[in-house]
Amino acid sequence: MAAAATAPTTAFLPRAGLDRLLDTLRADGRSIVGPTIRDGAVVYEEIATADALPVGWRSDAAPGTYRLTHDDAARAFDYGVPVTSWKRYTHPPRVPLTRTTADGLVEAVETAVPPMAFIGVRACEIAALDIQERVLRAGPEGDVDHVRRRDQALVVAVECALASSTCFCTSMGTGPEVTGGADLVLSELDAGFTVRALSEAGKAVLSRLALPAASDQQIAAAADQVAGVRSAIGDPVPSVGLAERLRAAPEHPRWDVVAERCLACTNCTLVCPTCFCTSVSVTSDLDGITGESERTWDSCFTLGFGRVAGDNNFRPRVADRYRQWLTHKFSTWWDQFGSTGCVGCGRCITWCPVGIDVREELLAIAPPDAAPAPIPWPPAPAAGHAPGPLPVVEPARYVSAEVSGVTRETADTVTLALSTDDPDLLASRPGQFVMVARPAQAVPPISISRIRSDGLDLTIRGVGPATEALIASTPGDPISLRGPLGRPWPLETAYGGDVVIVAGGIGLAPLRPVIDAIFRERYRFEAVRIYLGARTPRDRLFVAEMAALGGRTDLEIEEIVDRGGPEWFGRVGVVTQLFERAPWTGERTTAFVCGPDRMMQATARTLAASGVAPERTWLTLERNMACGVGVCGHCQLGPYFVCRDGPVFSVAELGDTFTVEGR
Amino acid sequence: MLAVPASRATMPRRPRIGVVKFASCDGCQLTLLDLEDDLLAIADRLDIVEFAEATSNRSSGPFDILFVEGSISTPEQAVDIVRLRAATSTLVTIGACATSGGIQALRNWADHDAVRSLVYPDPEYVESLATATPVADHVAVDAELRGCPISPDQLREFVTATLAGRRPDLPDEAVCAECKRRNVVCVAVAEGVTCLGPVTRSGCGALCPAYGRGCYGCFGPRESANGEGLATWLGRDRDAADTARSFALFNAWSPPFRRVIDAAGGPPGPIDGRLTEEPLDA
Amino acid sequence: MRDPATTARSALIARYLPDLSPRQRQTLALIARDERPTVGTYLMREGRPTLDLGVIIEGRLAVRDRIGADDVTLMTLDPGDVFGWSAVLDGISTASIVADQGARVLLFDGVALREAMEADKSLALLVCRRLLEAVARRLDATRMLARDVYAFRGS
Repeated sequence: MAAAATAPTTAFLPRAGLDRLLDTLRADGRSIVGPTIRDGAVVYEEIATADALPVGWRSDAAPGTYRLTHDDAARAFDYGVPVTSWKRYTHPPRVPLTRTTADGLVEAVETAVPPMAFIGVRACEIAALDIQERVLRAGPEGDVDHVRRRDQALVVAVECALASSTCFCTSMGTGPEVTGGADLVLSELDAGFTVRALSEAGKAVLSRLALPAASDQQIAAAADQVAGVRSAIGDPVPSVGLAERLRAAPEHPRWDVVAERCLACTNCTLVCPTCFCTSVSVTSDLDGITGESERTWDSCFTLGFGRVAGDNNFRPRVADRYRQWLTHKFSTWWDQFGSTGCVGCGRCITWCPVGIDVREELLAIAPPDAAPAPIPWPPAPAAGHAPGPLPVVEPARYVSAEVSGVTRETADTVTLALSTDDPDLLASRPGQFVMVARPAQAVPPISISRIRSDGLDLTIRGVGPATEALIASTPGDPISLRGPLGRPWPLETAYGGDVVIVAGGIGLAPLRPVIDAIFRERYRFEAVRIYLGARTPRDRLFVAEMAALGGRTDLEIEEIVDRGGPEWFGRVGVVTQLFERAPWTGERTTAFVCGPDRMMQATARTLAASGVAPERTWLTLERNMACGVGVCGHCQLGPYFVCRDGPVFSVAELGDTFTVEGR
Repeated sequence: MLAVPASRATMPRRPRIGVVKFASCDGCQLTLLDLEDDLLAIADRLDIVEFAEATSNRSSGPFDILFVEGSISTPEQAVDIVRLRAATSTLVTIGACATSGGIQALRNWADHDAVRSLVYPDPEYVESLATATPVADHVAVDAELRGCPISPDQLREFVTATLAGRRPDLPDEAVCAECKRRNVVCVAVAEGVTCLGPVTRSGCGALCPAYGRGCYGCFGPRESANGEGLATWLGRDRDAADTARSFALFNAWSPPFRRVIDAAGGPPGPIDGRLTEEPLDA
Repeated sequence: MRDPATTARSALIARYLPDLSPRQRQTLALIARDERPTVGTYLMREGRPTLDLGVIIEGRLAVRDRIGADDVTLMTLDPGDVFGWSAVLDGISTASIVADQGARVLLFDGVALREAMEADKSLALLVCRRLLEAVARRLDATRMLARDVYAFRGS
């Protein structure tokens, strides 16, 4: 007897009655999306009648191959898993995001979302929809478009009667039984379908159909059918302990082996029903002001996905990207969302043009070291079926601000003073950042370099067209901001102890609000030591302010440059030289560090040698961000999203994600 | 690395645009004219000073933006491109011929003199280089628009972005990404058709797969193109000459595709200038 | 014979080489010189034989190099830094080192130091270990500087 959440009545729908079901759904104003045959495969598209269903079709799926076969059986749902996944309709490939008006201000766009009914949703796909719900609601703002599409869709699930050779839902705990997450569940028998309602909406539809009850034999036949699927699949990827084993294998030689075969073509991520990564593209009209931005499906397999300002890239090799994908999907997804990232649907195996099979790769890289655990019965509810309500999601908010002042700090760096009265922005905390939008330009994340009672300062280095447009701003220019975002520096944890601040180059910008905050409450801290490094004397930021700090007696401040020049009479070398032989020891010290990654690594090592604990050494990371709220996937780093769980992290939290190349 | 010219704010006059052609079919230049409605608006913002296909204005520079079509095939062209580069702020190559040498680059594997003698009765009157090479082999190139022909949408995006001082959105990803976004069924997996999509840069909107054909590689290799990996997979049920034939098309000379062709011993078919008894394969 | 100057030098040596035995410290104190070079004095010249191994006690030294027509400061050295280790290896200076303001250094004659190390292997071990640490730290710093040269690809 299939496990049931409540005790739904099970009705019986004769085969000829499918159209009545579709008509009933359509009468509610829903468009029907279901499986149909096109171009040699089963796809999900809008369908009009039950004739469009793949009656009599089955698929033979294997790594890199998919072929349809037809027989005379009248069964409509034996086709396996289609190439399309439901995310096409809940998280569409292209979604308009913003529009820029002729005044140059950015406003969010809301698309009208039609109510839909999804026909033929499998257990693994229900789990995938649920997983994406968690992901896309997880951040501080979440994804309004997704929430509306998902909430308006009525799900008519179908319990699998046949398994494909690429299925492994049993190993991932997501099927094949449907135990929740749907409004109606159909099980296909030769004469028709048993129908259960799992929600109020489902019950309402069922009562309008006025169907007879299913007989006990029919109910038993449905249960036997899905049990047969379970035993046919077995347990191809023993998943107990998989997350830990995979995490522990970043240097496994197999990564390089699979990288030779992998074309980094992005097919696996785009057919995957849980992959959610997107990018934002900005277009403008010929006037250079009005324009639009749109969100499109992207993939961590493209080289540009991890690229940051200045042409640096965190995952240059295909092996880095494949490792990132597999480890995220099967391991760090648990850390981020509390569920598996893979539902075992097998699409990535079938639709990989060179037939890479993730099951094989997982067994090679993270083999189970004990006998696999027995498959539990009755099966646990599909992963991600969290009982309580999911967080409410707010739409994106762009706040307009005005440039009130422009200060040139160095040849390529400018501080923009922005005035605003938005209470959220004025309540920003040191270490947070904002997404900064100017007409017709891409939207970069910029750290806040000062928080004032009437606005914010942003210190920006021009490294590409978007940032160069920003540093060319003049007083009075309109700018749209979204934020504040990110986790701030935990200054309170330093109360009562010593503070060390180490800044490399433009790294001083996100640290300046910390310095401001310390001096507003100087009595809360013991010794305060500031170490500043820069490439040359002309690359130093906030020179006059830092010189004024040098005149104070309640702190130590020292600076050093990589290259001095004839007019420099100070120290020359790398910033760690300022404190590597310091007379102080760090047991009571909290450190705040910002600069290029290498400099932060060297600083963390040197501070540790002086006794500063890694739990109390805080860094801020820079990564490619399109959304800034944890739904585009670009800034994913091990178990974290840099925009949401950071950008401030302690060295202890980062562990080897910070030190292993290509993470 | 794209060098974006100065933004509108610092260029008060209309930018001077030139369009020139070397060894090519003209199709990429025609794409400019294909912009139709946008063309008038764009022409209003630009000063097209040299575009033999479209206007009788002539100019030898200086150009703010020069669109260059065609590969370098003759000694005269090799001299011309250097002169044009010196007169240009932003040089943009358009199309497979200019970005990779084009289909005519197949002659780079051949015995040039033998082929010339076969075609022309008095070959000494024909001045051509032994190779047809991309423009970037001769001068520094600031931007590329790939394709055979280029995409009008990408051209429009390039022009509007450049005028706005914005980095043009020309993604470097596989054709597969466009197929999947459009819900086009993969012809390689579902039909076993040879398709270069996974190693080819997107930009055409997945045109051929949308009609059930395999990708021909018109937009050239994308970043991280793993031609060897794809060739190994194709080699399971094709011989090396067949696989090489798929790569020996419009972007044959670009290194990721060239390596696959070289591994098979060169482009298939007679290229050494000798007439053969058997008819050529279709 | 323990005159106050030698005792003072011995105390300084103890600061930098705490594991020496009193006799070893005395040996080194006898060959050490405590000097305050004026600003601009060259303690080492690139290309010339290195005469002394030195430790900075106070102030600052600058490592200089002639690049093109200019004298460039590659790095400054602070109290605790070691220089002139090629004196121990009987070598030629690979850099020039100049005294900056307030410099005070402890210098050990290279020939005498080598003789002392030959005669007492455990002294040699302690001195060499300390030198190796100093050299490693300098290499790390140099590598970080070089990395900046390669990493900087901005406009």
